[in-house]
Amino acid sequence: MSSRTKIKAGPKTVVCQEADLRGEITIGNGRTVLHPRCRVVAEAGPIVFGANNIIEENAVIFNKNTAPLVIGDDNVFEVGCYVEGLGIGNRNVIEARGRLIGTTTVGNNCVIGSACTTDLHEKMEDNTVIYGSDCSRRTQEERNAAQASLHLRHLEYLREMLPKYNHLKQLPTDV
Amino acid sequence: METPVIYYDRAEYIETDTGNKVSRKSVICGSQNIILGGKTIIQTGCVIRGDLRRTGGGHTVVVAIGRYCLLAHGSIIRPPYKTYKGIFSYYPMKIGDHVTIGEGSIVQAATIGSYVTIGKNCVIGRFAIIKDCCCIADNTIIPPNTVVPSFSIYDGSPGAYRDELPECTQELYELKTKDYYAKFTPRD
Repeated sequence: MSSRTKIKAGPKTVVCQEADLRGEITIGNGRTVLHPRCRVVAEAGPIVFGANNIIEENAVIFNKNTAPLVIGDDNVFEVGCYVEGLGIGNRNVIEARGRLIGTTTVGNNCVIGSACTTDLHEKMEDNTVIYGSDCSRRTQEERNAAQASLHLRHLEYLREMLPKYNHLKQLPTDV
Repeated sequence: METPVIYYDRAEYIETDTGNKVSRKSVICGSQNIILGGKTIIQTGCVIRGDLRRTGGGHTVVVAIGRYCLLAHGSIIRPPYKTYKGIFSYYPMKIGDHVTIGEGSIVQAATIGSYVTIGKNCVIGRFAIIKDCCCIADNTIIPPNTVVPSFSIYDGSPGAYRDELPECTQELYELKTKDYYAKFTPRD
């Protein structure tokens, strides 16, 4: 476990006090929201977030590799999900208790359904959906405007509402 | 069936006037928006998101939980969200009486009726409606917007109807939750 914790975040990032951040973490210049009780642990290598991500409670994002784990923009990590992997693109949704494990890389606009798991060394193409009890795969359509606007509104809501009820972490804002 | 007495650390739990027992190791956000009916147990590691309230002014209840409910270790209660007429908002969640929510379950339902048992590690999707007297088996994933009818047993991923419950379910679940509350005693 790396002993030093070094966090860089954009000025619009909302990080709740109970969020557990360890290691070298960079959060891009956008409206990323980290709910209370989420864990981002950069154990061996750093974790780099893009803009506009939502990380909900009990979500765990872990980097066991020395290479940086690069996560793109507009991703949603729902309650209780577990994420390792080598890289994540943009506009993905990891649903409640989804697991992204091993050396998996995720493209853009993918969905890992509730309680679904990726293979250990998978390369998820764009628009892949993992669903059901057998973790079946299918391809979905490109993301439409309604979904994009929902995500933006969700972020706006959280940015307004979370500081009213939660204590926020003060982070150095020098990205 | 006789269940064993469950002991807890007196220092860990706060007991309210109405008999609710809430663990200090749980995370309760926006507690002013949460109503507990009485004699409800909230165990270690639970998360209740009362801060995700409806947009617009005024006092709102976000999570209303009835009497004799049990939120077991690590369960998560968070209200569901959607956009309606172009406005994004979280919506209130109501949980009835004598409801058991198993360990590690994630609940984002709109309504849960009375006399409901939800097993361990379940995921109840956004805006699901669970009627009275239901049983959700362990590890079930109830998809968003599902309506679970009364006296049914659901299991699987995605959750599907499996079996029906007997007419005495109401009495059974009422006794079970009352028994659990009576046997949830401090160790000293």
